[in-house]
Amino acid sequence: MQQEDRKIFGKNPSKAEIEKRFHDLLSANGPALLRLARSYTKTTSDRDDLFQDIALAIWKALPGFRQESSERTFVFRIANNRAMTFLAQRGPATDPDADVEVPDPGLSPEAELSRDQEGVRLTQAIQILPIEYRQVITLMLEGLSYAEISGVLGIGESNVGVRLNRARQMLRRLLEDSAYERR
Amino acid sequence: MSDDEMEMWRKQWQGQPSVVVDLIRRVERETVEMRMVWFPFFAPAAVGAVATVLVALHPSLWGFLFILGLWLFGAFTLVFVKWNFKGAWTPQAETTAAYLELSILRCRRKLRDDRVGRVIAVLLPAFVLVGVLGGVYDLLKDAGALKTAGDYWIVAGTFLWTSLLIIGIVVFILFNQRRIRTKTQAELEYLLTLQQQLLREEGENMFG
Repeated sequence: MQQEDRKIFGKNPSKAEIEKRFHDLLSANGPALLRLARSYTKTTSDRDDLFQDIALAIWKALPGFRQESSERTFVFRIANNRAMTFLAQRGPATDPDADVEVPDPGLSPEAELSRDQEGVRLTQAIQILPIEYRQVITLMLEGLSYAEISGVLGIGESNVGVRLNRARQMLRRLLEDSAYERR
Repeated sequence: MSDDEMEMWRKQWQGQPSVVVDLIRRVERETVEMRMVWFPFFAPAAVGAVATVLVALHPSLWGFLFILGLWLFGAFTLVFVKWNFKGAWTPQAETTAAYLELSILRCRRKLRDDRVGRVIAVLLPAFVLVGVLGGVYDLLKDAGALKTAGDYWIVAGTFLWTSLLIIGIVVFILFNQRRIRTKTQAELEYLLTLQQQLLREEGENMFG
């Protein structure tokens, strides 16, 4: 993979190579980026808008990518930065009193019922977290290591650990509170 | 706190349904549209070019001054845009803090762009209106079309309606700009608050 990357991200990648790499990047990371976008938005249309913002930002940055970091770090760094800008432009999604709506198009009522309810509750709780905690927890849930999260956010690994601990405490409390309310 | 908990959350998080294929196709279509970003600049340049050709065909001092004014406005706008957005294209470093600073800088430059834009939005149409109406008046007079008082009243009436229409368009543009300005100011405030929040968090973590 690294040798292939070196060939594609060499001095002057062709347009076709960039397009192919862009398509491959989105195919490989699309679901993760969509989940990340969901954690910053209230509705499906906002989520899709943010996803497009992220994807277009990756498209613009791709020709200049010279493997200073891994592809995953590159993609998630752009995603987090775009998400922050999106929040600034649209306002924060973290209104604890608002009903968070994340409907998926094309799902039948039966399919919606059988959908992972716990996953929805988890997303809703993450949407309430302050942004600095939301960033670390979503990246950790996507399987990034401390070093990778540090590279994405531009903070030290010890800082990642501190934020992650606080994020987990808050998230646990939110999930326990929502479980109690459902009884 | 255990890794089992994180593993459980990870499965819940990653197990959520996602529909991505259509979105990817939409994005790939938009990258083609992005290449047409320079089209909005072609229209004013084309108008300037056509006006230049017309004045060249029917030279007059008035026409020459009008064309000169048009191209000066155009040159000023280009130079201003280039200067205003200098240093606002890429972040200083590949860090969240640097991207945040870049977003804040872009907001500030957008607000500056708006302030200058408002002045141009008034001056340029006024200049064009005076130039075009003056030029049309000269043409009509040279062609001998303005013979009676009635002819002059018709021309005056047409000029008045044209002016009112242009003023209406300018007012609409300024009103729309005000909406964008308010949104940008809110965005800037949010970004500054976020920056302070992140800096405070960094400070707390550094000093325990």
